[in-house]
Amino acid sequence: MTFYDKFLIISLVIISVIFIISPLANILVEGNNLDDQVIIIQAGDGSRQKIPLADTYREEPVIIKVAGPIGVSIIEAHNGRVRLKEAPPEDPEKICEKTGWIDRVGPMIICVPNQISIWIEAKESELDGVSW
Amino acid sequence: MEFPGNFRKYIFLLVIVIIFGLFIFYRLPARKEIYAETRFFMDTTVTVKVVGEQKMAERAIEQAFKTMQEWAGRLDRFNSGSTVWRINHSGGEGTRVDQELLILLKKGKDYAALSKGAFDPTVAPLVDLWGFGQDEQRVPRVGEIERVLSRIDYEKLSLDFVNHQVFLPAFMEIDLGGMAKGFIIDKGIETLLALGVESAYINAGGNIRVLGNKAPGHPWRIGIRKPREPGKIFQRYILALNRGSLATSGDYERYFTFNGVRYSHLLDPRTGYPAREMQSATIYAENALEADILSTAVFVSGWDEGKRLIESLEGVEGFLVRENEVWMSKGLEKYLY
Amino acid sequence: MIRTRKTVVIGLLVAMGLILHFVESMIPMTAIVPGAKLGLANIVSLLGLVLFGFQGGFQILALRILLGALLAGTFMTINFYLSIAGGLISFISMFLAYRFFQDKFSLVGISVVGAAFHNLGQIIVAYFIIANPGIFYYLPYLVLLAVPTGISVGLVTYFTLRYLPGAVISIN
Repeated sequence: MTFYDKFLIISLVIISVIFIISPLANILVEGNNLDDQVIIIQAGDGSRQKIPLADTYREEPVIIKVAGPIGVSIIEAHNGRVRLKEAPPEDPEKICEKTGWIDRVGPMIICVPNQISIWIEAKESELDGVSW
Repeated sequence: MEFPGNFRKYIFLLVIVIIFGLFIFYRLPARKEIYAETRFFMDTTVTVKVVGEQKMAERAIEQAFKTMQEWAGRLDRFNSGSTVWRINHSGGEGTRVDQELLILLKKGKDYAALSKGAFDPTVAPLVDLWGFGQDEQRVPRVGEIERVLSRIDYEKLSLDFVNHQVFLPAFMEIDLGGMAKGFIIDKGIETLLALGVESAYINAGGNIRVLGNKAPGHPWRIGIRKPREPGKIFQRYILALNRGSLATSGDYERYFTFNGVRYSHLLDPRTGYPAREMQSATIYAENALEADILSTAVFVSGWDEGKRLIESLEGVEGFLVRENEVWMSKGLEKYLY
Repeated sequence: MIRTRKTVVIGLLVAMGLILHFVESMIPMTAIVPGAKLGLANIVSLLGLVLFGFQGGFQILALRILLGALLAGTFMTINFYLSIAGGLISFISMFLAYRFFQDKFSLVGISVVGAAFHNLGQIIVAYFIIANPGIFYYLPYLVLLAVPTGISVGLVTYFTLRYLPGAVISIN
């Protein structure tokens, strides 16, 4: 290994660690208030479905079916978590299925073949204004 | 391929990389900020928010307030010497006004006709009779109302675009209360646009107009007040706007109660009494003037007639509230957050 | 004779690449970071690049992606495009690093560059497909993971090259 090899490796590691830590630090500061979070499911055409995370605390999981270019993906939200339960059989790798549950702001379930993305967003509790 | 040779070189390298990393880290959040200022005029609070770098944003806000306050002064009928005051005190003679005011009055007349008189810029005598212009409000006697109604008729307000004159019969008065806020907001937005502002928000007494997204992908989020619960909004009807305007007319804004009956300032110029079918009417329209006028017009028109009015106009959406019921026009859905 | 030998070696490398590609798909890296790959097949691209230069390396890469997709039945699907994007960007970046910074980077550095750009290319293409900037959330994780895989790929390539008989190396 040359000097430049090490330089490259160390800089890559440090830069990616910084980018990994900085959003996490944000969450620590802002706290993780369940009442204020929503699950967002975006389909390929840009249309979005929103489910308040608080609404998923109940006996039965919330099941949502979203149609995409290669078939129907089944999404399951339960007790403050969401996952892509079943990708269509046409999806060769099923990366989104393997991503598993997500339960906080940041990570994202992405199904590139079926053009679906799912993530949790902190509802901005602050409004820009009120019409009265 | 031998492993770490020079220890000192290694540390030096690490320091450089950390500095580089921190530099990137701190450069990233350096984005445009939202600058906001609130002033009190037109008997209400006016807030201007501009997204941009500090110098430009502050200058733009200052300019917008200057324009808006100038216009507010000219449109105030209680401000002796103002343009509107001169029209009201012309004793039937023509009053010379500029093109912009003529256009504004023309709009007022047009919407008065469109709403079949539910909105009327010559409503001033009725407002005064009920005392909504002053501090003391009272329920007038029937005879008084009838006499005043004969002095209200937008068709008698005539505009001369050739000689830039306004003619108003001596016994009549105009009150731009139902349109001034909207007009002034539009003036403010125009000023900001001319200064190159791409993202802004103006709120004048609950009437709002926005320009562009607050941040890329983040529209301005605007709530609608619940008429009977001060400080609360309709959580399911938060709107996300990156253009257009919202105006709400509600019976909670200015009202008094007498013998257990609520009398609001939203007077029907045709009956002489406050309209009371609704609790509030919120209108979305391209510009603030249209939204402002229509919110009054729809409120006064009543539940069914108001819905019809909203649906008959292109680019206009509405959100109506009455006891235990809300109604939203189909097109408003796409603005829901 | 040399041409034939070259063809044979390229064929062998493509075949190895395919096998590595399938071995890789059995290792559940996605469980760690969605979309993460070991990039083992990069070994053959890098070998091809060192042995035969840009053209040879490119042939190996193209054949490997094409045949891999045909065998796995993902030809012309989105995964195919993702592979192409990642493979191309990674190969070009390795080529440039090899060509212009040969004296500065060893094979390890070049392979780390390739691994990092592989992820970058895939994420950019995925972003265009899914139009959601949130996808970049995973980029630092992927880059971080690219470092050890890049190092190992580089080391494997290095030792493979040392092991190869001179006859193969002198083809070019």
